[in-house]
Amino acid sequence: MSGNVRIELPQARKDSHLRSGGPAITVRNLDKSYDDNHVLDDLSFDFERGKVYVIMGPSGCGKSTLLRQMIGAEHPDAGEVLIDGIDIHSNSRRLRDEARRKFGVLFQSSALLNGLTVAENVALPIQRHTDLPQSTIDLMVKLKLELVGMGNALDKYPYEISGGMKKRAGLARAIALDPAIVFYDEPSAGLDPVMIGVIDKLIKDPTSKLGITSVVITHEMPSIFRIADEVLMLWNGRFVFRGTPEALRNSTDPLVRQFLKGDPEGPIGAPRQLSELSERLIGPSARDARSATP
Amino acid sequence: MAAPTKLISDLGALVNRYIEVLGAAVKFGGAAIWYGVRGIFNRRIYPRHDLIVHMDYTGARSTPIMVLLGFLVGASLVIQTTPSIARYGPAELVAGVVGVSVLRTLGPLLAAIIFAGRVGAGFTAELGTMAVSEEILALDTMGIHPVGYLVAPRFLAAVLMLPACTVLFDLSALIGGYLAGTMQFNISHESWMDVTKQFVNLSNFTFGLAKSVVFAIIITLVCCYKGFTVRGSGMEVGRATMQAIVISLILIIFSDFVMSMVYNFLSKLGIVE
Ligand SMILES: Nc1ncnc2c1ncn2[C@@H]1O[C@H](COP(=O)(O)OP(=O)(O)O)[C@@H](O)[C@H]1O
Ligand SMILES: [Mg+2]
Repeated sequence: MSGNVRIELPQARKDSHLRSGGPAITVRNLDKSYDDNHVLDDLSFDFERGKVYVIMGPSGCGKSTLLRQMIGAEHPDAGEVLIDGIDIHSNSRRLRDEARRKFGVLFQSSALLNGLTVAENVALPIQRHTDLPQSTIDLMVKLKLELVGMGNALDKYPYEISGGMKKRAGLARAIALDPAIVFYDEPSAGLDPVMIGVIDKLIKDPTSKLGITSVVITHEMPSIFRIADEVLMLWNGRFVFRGTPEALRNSTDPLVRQFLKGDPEGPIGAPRQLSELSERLIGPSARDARSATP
Repeated sequence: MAAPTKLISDLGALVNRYIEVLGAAVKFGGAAIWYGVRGIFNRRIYPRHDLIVHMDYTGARSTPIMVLLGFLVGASLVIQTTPSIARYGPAELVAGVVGVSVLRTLGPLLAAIIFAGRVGAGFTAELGTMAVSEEILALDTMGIHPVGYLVAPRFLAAVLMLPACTVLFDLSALIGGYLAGTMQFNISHESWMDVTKQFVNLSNFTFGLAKSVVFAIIITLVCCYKGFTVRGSGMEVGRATMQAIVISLILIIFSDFVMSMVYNFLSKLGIVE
């Protein structure tokens, strides 16, 4: 496995390069609600090129929703998302396609097509976006799969391989066209610590070596400190923290402290039913006693 | 004063929502047809191989059930109506009753209902599972139109294969009816054929076939749309499948009624036979 395998392909790479020295991703005044549920509240931020950004926050706080707006899979109620200066929600299909070609996405559930083999899955974006002959595509697919350590599973179907292998195949597909930006939605969820380390390395290496911008949604604290250049914490539709992992560690913000410690008591709050249940089982006295001890 | 205003605004919201869903569904149907036709000439929209797989699944593999159920429906129709017909006239008239009702209504309708249960339910379940596991989202972000890639080949396959299944069902029902009539009620081969020729004409058959094309469009669009719009967990896939079948059946039977009315109207004007 070497991090710097890279195929020189003018057609495929021309579009994936970032044009300007400007930010890789710009989000302005992004707003999204589902019925009465105001998930994203007037978010604005820039992501520089060549860095790893980690977005964290409690389950259900809207991380995947933010991702869906950033990759143009859903329309925000207001605001805009620029990928290398191009509006991902543009009315022009040509512009949308141009913006799309600049990034790859590793989905939370890997999202490999079950009817296709691993190799066919990785070939899909290459076939769609280039006119390369099949033999070249086969070679690219093989190289990408070897890069993620899946060189021997080309002809396996997604339902025949483990969760960790699916994640790696999904990653190979996300980087098939050498995108300038890669989004990862909970890449380490459900994986063992060693596999998490492997995935972290696959995220970190290309970022530093090839100047790729990575946006990673994760809860995995060791991961965050290994890979992040900057961490953002989403809560109640807004970022309550943005800074380096060092600053995160030293933050005195009660939300951040609670999240880092995994404390069930605090401003984030456990789901109501859960705290009622624990109160019934343990009793309020036990709860008071626990929060009293330092 | 507050209650009626709330009622009106709630009603307005409901109507708005229906219009929204209807608009989305129409757009979805348009895309399915557009990409289905374009995909015949442009191999990038969906893999050719997928079309063959779906035609095999929707058509070839439906053959046994269509033949078996068609045969049984034709036979029981004759067994149950012949005694009543014989009470008022010649028993062989049943040949005409079977011919017309199978070709015009029973064949297309029952084939479509079987098809909805076998093929339509499969469409919703497959696509719903893909929606839940973000596969549809992934296609979209790779720049592959999900409706073109997933729905268009299913749509084409169903529109070609339901009429084929209907022909099979019709034939089996006519054979079943013939065998029941000649063997159970001793109607001679000659008189059965005679009556059939007098009652049945080509337009009965083509009208039935045209209806089956409409039914195929209804089943594919409803079932694929319900699959595409599944959100949440695997549980929702089951619910969506049930809803897709119920909506398909209602629309099939309702459109059958409407088409029959229109046909009658046109035949009164002498435009069709
Ligand atoms: N398609 C949708 N329709 C309605 N509500 C949704 C939809 N997607 C997400 N939500 C709601 O939005 C909130 C944020 O969800 P999500 O972005 O998946 O959270 P996270 O990824 O941070 O766990 C949740 O309350 C969820 O129920
Ligand atoms: Mg999520």
